Formats: sequence, structure tokens, C-alpha cells
Amino acid sequence: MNLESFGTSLTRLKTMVERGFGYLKRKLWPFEITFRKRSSKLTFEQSIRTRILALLLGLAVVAVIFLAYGINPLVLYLDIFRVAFFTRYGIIETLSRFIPLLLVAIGLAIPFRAKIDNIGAEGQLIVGAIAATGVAFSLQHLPSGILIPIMFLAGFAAGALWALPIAIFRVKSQFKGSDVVISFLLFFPALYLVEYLVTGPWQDPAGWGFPQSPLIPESARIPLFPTTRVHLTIILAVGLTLLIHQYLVRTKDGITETKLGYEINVMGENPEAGEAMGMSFLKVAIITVLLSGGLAGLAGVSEVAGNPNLYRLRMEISTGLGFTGIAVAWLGGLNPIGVIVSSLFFAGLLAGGVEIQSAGLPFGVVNLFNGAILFFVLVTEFFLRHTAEWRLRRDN
Amino acid sequence: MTIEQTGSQIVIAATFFLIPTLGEMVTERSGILNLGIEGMVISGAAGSFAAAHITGNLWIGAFVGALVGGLLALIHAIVTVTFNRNQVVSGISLTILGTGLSSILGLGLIGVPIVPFGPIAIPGLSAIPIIGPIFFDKNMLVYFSYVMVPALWFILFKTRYGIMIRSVGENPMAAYTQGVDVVRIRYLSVIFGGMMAGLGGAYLTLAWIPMWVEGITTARGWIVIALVVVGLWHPVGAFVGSYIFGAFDVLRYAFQPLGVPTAFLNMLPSISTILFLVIWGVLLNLQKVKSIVGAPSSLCVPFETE
Amino acid sequence: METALEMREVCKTFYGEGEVEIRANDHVNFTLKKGEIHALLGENGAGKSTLVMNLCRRPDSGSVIIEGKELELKTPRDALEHGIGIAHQDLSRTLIERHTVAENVLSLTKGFLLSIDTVEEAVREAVQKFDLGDIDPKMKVWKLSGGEKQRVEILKALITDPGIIILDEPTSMLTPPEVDDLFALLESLKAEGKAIVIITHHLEEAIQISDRITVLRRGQVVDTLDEGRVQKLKSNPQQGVRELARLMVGKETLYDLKRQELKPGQIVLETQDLCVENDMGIQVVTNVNLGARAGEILGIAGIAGNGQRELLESIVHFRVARTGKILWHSDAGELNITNMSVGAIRDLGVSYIPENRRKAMVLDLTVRENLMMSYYSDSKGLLIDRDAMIQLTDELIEQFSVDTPSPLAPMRSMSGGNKQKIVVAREISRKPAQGSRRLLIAENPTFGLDVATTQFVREELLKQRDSGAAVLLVSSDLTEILTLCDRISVIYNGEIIGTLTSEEATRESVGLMMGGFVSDSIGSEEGN
Repeated sequence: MNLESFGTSLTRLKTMVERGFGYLKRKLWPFEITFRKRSSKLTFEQSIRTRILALLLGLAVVAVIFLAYGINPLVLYLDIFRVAFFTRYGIIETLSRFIPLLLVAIGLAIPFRAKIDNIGAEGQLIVGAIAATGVAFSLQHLPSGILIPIMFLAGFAAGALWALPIAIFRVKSQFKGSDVVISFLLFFPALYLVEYLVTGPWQDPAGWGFPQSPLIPESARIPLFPTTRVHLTIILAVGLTLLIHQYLVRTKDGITETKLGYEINVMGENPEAGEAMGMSFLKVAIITVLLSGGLAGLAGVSEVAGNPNLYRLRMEISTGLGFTGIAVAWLGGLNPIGVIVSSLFFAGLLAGGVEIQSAGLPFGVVNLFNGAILFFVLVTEFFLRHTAEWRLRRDN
Repeated sequence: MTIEQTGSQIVIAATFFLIPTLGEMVTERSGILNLGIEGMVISGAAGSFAAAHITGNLWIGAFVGALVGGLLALIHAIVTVTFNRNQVVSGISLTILGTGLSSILGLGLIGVPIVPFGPIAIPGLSAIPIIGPIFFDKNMLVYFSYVMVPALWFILFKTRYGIMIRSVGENPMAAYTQGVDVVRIRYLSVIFGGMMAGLGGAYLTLAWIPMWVEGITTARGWIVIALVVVGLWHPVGAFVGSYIFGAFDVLRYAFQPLGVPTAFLNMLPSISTILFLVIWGVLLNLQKVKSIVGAPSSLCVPFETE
Repeated sequence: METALEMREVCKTFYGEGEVEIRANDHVNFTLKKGEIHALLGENGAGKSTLVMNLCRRPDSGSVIIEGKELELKTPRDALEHGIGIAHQDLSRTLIERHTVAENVLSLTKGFLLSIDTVEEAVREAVQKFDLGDIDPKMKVWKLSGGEKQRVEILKALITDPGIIILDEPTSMLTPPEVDDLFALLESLKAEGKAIVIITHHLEEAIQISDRITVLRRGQVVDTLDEGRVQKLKSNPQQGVRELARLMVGKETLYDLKRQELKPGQIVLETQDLCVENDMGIQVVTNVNLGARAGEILGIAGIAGNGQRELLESIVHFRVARTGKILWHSDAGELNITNMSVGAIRDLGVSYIPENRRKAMVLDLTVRENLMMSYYSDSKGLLIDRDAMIQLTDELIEQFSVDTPSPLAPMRSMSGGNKQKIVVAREISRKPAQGSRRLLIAENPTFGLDVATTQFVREELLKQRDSGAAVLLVSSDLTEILTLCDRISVIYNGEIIGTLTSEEATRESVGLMMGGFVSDSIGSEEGN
């Protein structure tokens, strides 16, 4: 049999398969859907409604998976909700997750607004934690009031530095996605750097060989609210978020407060036009990415110096907050106020996640929520910008 | 370690890169960037391991792996092709979703043993000294990856489907106006990419490391995306790139006796990937090179008929 | 003669943002007979392309009848199968630059295997048969010139041997001799009994080639001229052009512009031996020496794709000049701006109205945000002076009578004319630096605009000239060049092949030069 006739028989086979599928499609799906564009800007209520819908759809899809594993999703969801927001333990745990999550998510929202994708917040968080630990040990003679701000500055700087390559790749690289890949891959050097430090030079000599650093000195610990385990970084996190809202996002009479905020808006929608007007995409990219990495670095500092379960450097410093932050930022509509709300929701999910484990599922299942909700945020936005038109198929 | 052993290990490690890279290459050739490789690989790994464990049949396991990958890719196709949404964000969601899915698919499988695909020596070829044991005394999935390289080259460059895939990735409107069903081509390419990624996952748990633990891929899926770039969107390039990275993966342990801490050795794959992307980025940015090779022109560009 | 194609009461509406409806086709009736060349005439946006696109996507209502049968053609594939060949207008959307010519002809591939040799052979044969000049099927498309690309697109439409041939603006990148060849080809196809539609806005061409003419305006058929009337036009082309123009435009005020006497001042911008490469790394601008003077409109005429865009982009430093210098002259003396940033060049007093409207505006932002793009950076420090911006944008909207419900309306909801008004308002209102004069660079600034806005833009250009600014106008519209410019430089293949004053320039002389014909005899030919 020569190639030619082999090709012909393949074609014949293909036609048969196609006919079969065509028949099935006509019988099972006798509709045609066409999409039409409609108004572009979402009103405030519309965008809130979309997010809530996306959230519910995401929860529903995950519920189906849970059902398949014989778990009643409604009971589980109610349990998560109850534990996270209506028990003393849960509220404290929710708030303690809320702090780093908000810092990461608000940091991600800034470059996302300019269409720069930073998915390496996890790595930036880790180097922030490393820097804070390093400062805490080398400057431990300083009083708290000086030491802790220095730790925050060092964490910010380390995270920002770690994120810098993303900006350069985003602007200079010819390949779509290579900036995203790089931002993710930078997570590994950070992770293994921690591993090296806590099994090598920084290992706790009194730690029976556990891969962890000694406890950081008392002077380096962020004060807690009395009788709780919630640390004062919460004020910093919310404060920074409100500042970002005020100066970069909020518009009055259609005008943002700062030039940077305006440039981010222009670059996010149409970088070509921005550049033709003399704006520099590189500048916007570098500033947003530095802010983003820096804020993730702050989250790392807050974990090391604020989380009473840690107060030291461990490999477990990385709990996937950098990735959850992506879903948080998008669910919050990349708007600081929205991000506060969605951070609270996801923090509750993480805190109530103990219920997932007690239902017999691995903790990684939380990622199902993140992924599904993120997908539905994308899809529901489509239906706000388009109308769907159904009609019965008419065949020629 | 003898040359044969080292070579064997490189082939085994490289195959895990090669299978998903070939799939992603086809996806990107059709103009869709799927950053969700990691999610599809790890779900495929968990799904295939579960299926093989339940049915006791490795082939069913491999099939289920491809199926899981294909289904996840279908989500990406719906979101990015039908709804024209941001491909980067959709890919990231796919990664997160796939990671979550792998946790639940792998439920109760941690520590469960399985008999992996065994090596089958190819008569004649395996007798060649050095090359024989390295390349031709491997399991079926490795052979499958060998076959896929020329097969995909043939499909992409010598068949009608191939030119349609390439045209759709370069300029979908041009293809559309000449009667090519852009949506269908893109769907097929994305799903094919997903199935290959799922199969790559199956290779991991059914052939290479016969067990399941969460995060078993150690995020190698991300390197795949870089490998497509390194391989210049060509099957042969993908083959070469995968073997280079497979070699990195294996040879890093050669530095261990020199007293380099393992943590630094573990950084090697990601750091070398980053370096590769930097070098390639500089090289391919040259004007003269750009018109000949480079990313498909419409990669990541949404297609609308009106 | 038999009817090949009939469209009855066809409607197609596009929905713009903010519930804007654009009736691109409004109850259009159109018939095409076998063995005729039927010209579709109309301004940009009149609905010509929309009408023929109804053959490969469903119109909102109305019916398409081919060979007496009512059909529903949903995709280009359906159109191909029913013997319709379409050569599209926008080549960047229909040719694959990195592939060879043969690989671009997808409609020929059949079966599972692809034999590129067979396709190449078929292309070679077709090129011979249709006498399309010298096209190598193995050549990569990005290496081809604009005219060659256009011929490839025409080849793609013809190669399937369709009964109905539709050519959408097939002459926009062709030189005059190539146009003649094409028309000869169309005549012979007509003799074979093919039904041919040619879409154009060149009135002379329509009269020259067609048997019948349908004129569209704002989505509606204004008139269909039958064979007899077209014959009458052919007998007196000049009269015919005027008649068609009236049908197309609706009123005859288009060419009526007042110009003050020329008072050319000092040179504002000068290029010296400028060479620029395009995105593919090919040098497309070669040794260009230009001098734009204050109080003068310098036109750069040329067929699209001859390096005009790259030239302008290098002046505003959106693109790097390969060799050569760009100099800025002001009271402070001479300044080399070749490698200055876009922002710094704009600050000197350079304004730019790009042809690609996407580069000039951000559709998803508000009118105010679009207007303040050139001004926001004037505020001191990091913050934007909000009150100043509000005052400024409100003034601009008032002064240029931009029709918008609110400065906060999204740009997307504006009509095409209003969008361009906003761009023009923003670009020409910015004050140049101390001691400098303004240089306004306009690239096909009236492309696709309605008559009123076209008039508005042209008047603004003249106002700029009269107020002492230097204006550099690139246009492929000869009428625009001839009515506005004081001097006309013709660019061909990246080189300025001649500069004429407005007195010397005629439609014929500039037209010939645009096709690459430089001869000392141009002047004497006119004398004949």
C-alpha cells in the first residue's frame, strides 16, 4: 500500500467519523449559539454580581466532585463557614491567614491591572521571609521599634528584587508567556535557598536536627493584639491596601490621584497607545512589579515575625499563599476594596480547611476552589460583555 | 555509574519532558498558549495511577491519564477559544485546578505499590553497544515518545491538518477566509496538547517513579513551557531540548561528591531554564532571525470573525 | 444574461459599545449577472465589504440566492463550496507572512496528505494562466512587495475557479501598469462568463472597468446604474466622476477648502539620509532627506506600504532609525533628536495622528482620560493636577464640539468621527516647547471618516499651517494630497523619488510617480 492510498483511506475514515459526529450533534444539540459584543465597562453592581455568581458556580462545581467522593458538600461548606467565622479559634486563624493573603493579593492586583502577570509571589514571599530572618539575627541587639521596621524594609527589598526579572521579560521578551514561566520558576531557587539555610548555616543547633532556624529574638517579634494571636501587621496590610486604593486605583471625575495610576490604566488597556504618547511600558512594568514583589516580601516578613506558630524560618513558610493570591486578586476584581473582601473569604476557606481534612480529604483540595472560581470569574465576565443568542439549527 | 546507566537515566528523565512538550508545541502552533501543563501533568499522573491501581491494567491507566489531561485541556479550550478569555490567566487557573484535582484523585493512594511498565528490548537494536542499552531497552511509553517526534514532524509539515494548524497559529483570519474551521483546529490542538500532558503524567507514575505522592512532578510541568521555546516550536527541537534538560536533571547529582549542597543542585533545572530563556530571548530578538523562526505570530491573540 | 447572485433585503447591524447600532447594510438589494463586471462604490464605511461578507456569514435578515436557489452561507467554506472566490482588502489579515506563497493557498489542499509540490505546480500554472506576472510559489510572503502580495491575494480568489469572483479594493497597492494588467485579466474572465464584483472607491477605475455600478451610502443602495448609464459615463469620464461622487457623498462640498497664501518659514524638522527597517528587518526607508517648514503642509504621497509608516515612526522614535539623522530646528538652534525618547520628542512640539487608530486612543477608558494623555505629565511631582485636567478636557470638548453625553463616557461608545475629533483635538492643542514651532504629523488622518469629519480634519490641518506650524501629511488619497499640500514628495519603495510644488503637481504626474515612474518628461507630457 503506498502513502497516497493510505492517505485516501484515512480521509475516508475521517469523513465517516465526521458524519457520525455530525448526526449525533444534530440529534443531541439542535441549537446554534452566536455571541454578540455589548457594552464594555461593567457597572459596579454588575461586577459585584458577576463575582458572586462566579463564586457560587465555582463552589457548585467543586460540590459535584465532593459528591462523587461521597461527601455531602452542603454540610462541608456550612462547616467550613461556621468554623472560619463563628468560632473563636476560627476567627483568629482566619485573621492570621488574612494578613499575608491580603498583602500578596493586593500586590498581585497592581501588575495584573497593567496586564503583567506575576505568578511567582510564593518565591517573593519566601525571600522576604529569608531577609527578615537574616536581619532579625544579625541586628538582634537593636530595640524592637527599630529592628522590626528594618525587617520589613529588608523583606520588601528582597521580594522586590526577586520580582524584577519579570518586568524585564514582560517588556523585552518576544515570547508570550516567558515572563509568566520565569516568574514561576524563580520560586524554586527561593525554596531551595530556604532548604539550604535551614539545613546548613542557619540550622537551629538546639533543634535535634530539624530543618529549621532558631526562634527569632523577642525584639524581632511583631506585637500581638492583647489576648489574641493576631499581630499588628493587619493594620499595616489594610492601611497599605487603602493607600493603594486611594493613590493608584480610585478615580474622581475620571482621573486617578497619581500619574502612575493613570499610566497603569492606559498600559493595561492599550500599551501601544501609551507608548505612542511617550509613556514607558518598562517603567510602569518595573514599578508595578517591584511593588508587587515587595508586598509579597512583606507577607513573608509577617509570617516569620508575626505568626506565633513560626517565629522562625522553616520550609513550611511556603504554604501556597502566592498562588491562592492570584485567585483572590481576580475574584476581588483587581480592586483593592474587592481584594479585601475576597481575601477574607479565602482566608476563611483556608482556616476552615481543617474541616476538609477531617472529612477525609487532603488539604490540597483547597486548590480546586481556587482554580474553579478563577475559571468562572473569567467566563462570567464574558457573558457581561456579550449576549448569547440561541436558535434552532437550520440545515441546508 | 557507567555510561550506559547514566545514559539510561537521561533517556528516562527526558521522556517525561518530551511527551508533554510535543503536545504543548502543537497547542502553541495553533496559536493557543496553555500554561496549565503542570496541572494537566499532575492530574494525569494521579488519575492514571488511580486507574491502574483499580483495574490492575497499566494501559487503562495510561489511557485514563491522557483522558484526564484532555478533559482539563477542554476547559482551557472552551475558555480561551469559545469565550476568547485571557489565555495566561486561564492557564494559571488550570494549573491550580489540576493541582487540586490531583490531590483528590490520589486520595488513598499514597504508599500504594504498583508494578510499572517494564523495559522491552528491541531485538537487534538493543544489541548495539552503548546505544542499544541506552535507547532500545526501554518501556513502551519511551518508544511512543520516539515515534511521536517524526510523526508530529510529518503531521505538521506534510499533511493538510499540519498546514491548517500552522496557518491558524500564524494568521487565523487568513485560514478562516479560505474555509478552515479555526475553532475546530484550535480545539483539537489544545485537547491533543492536554492528552499528551496527561500521558506525560502517566509516564511519571506508571513507568518512571511507580508511586503517588502529592506534588510528585516537582513542578517540572513549567519547564515544559520553556522547552517549547527552547525547541523553537519544532518537534526535533523539542526532542533535543528535552534531552538537554533530561541530562541536567540527571547529571546534577554528579556534583554531589564535590560537596555542593543538594539544595543548590535542586535549583539547577529552574535556573538553567531561566538562563536558556534569557539567551534565546536575546538571540531570537535579532531582526534577521525573527522572520524565519519564532513564536507563532498569533500566539495568545484572540480570534474573532467580525 | 443569467443572474448569478442575488441578495434581497439584506440587513446587517453591528452593535457598537453603549448600545450604538451601526446599520452596515440596511435592506440592500443587489443582483449580479453572469458575464458582467459590477462595481460596488461607496465611501469607507458605506457597507461595501459588509455586503459581500454576507456571502460567508449569515446576515441578520434577508436572503442570498445563488443560481436561483436560496442558500444559507454561514462560513467562508460554504462560500467556497458554492463557487465564490473573494480577494480581501486587508492583506495583513489574509496572508500568512512566514509561509510561502504556495502554503498560503489553503483552499487547494485536499485529502489527508499535503503535497506542497502539487500546490506549487498549481500556483505556477494559475500564475501563467491569469498572467499575474512573476510570482514564485516557493517565495516567503514577507519577502514580497505590496503589489506582489496583492496579486497573491487575487490569485487565491481565482485559483479555485469560482463562478462568482469578488475583489475587495484590489488595486490599492498596485502600480498603474499592474492595474491595467488586472483589468485586462478581468475582461477575459468576463468573456468566460464569470460574474465579477469589484469593490472600490476609485471612481475613475469603476467607470473604466465596470458594466454596471451600484453605489452605497450609509448601508443603503443609493442607485444602481445599468449598462446604458455606465456607457454614458464612459463617454465622458470627467463628468462621470463628478456624477458618481455626488451619488457617493450626497453633496458636492467635499473639495471646497479655503487656503491662505503660502508664507513658508524656517525649517522645523529635517531628516538627513534616514534609513529605517521594518519589523521583519528589511530596509524599507532609504536615504530620505526631508525638510518640513513652518507654515507649510508637506505631503508625502505614495501607495500604502512603500515605507511611509516606518518613516513617520522613526521621526517620532516609535521605531529606531538605522542610519541617518533627524534634526530639530528651533530658536535655540539645531538639536539632534534621532535617539531621543518619544516623550522628549513630543515635548519639543511634535504631534502625531497615526493611521492606526488603536495607537492613538484607549477604547476602554473615558473620553477625558483619552484627552488628557498628552497633558497629564505636565503636572508637577507624582500627582495629577485634577482641576487643571478637568478644565482642559472640558475646554477641548467644547472647542472642537465633540459630541459626547459626558466627558466620562467610554471612548468606545463614540462614533468613528468623534473618536478622530478627540485625537485631533488632543494632538493639535498641545503647546510646543519654548522657542520651538509645532510639527504636526498626520498619517491618513481622514481614512474611513464621514464627510463632515473629513472636512473638519482638513480644515484643522490648514488652520495649523496658517498659524505657522509645520505639517507633514502622509496620505494615499491623491485628492487629499492635492487639495491640502504646498509641496508634495512622492515616496516609492522607500525612496523619495521626487518633490513637486502644488503648482507643478497634477493628478496624473503624482499618480505616475506613485507608481515609480520618474521621468524628466513628466512636465513635457503635460504640455502635450
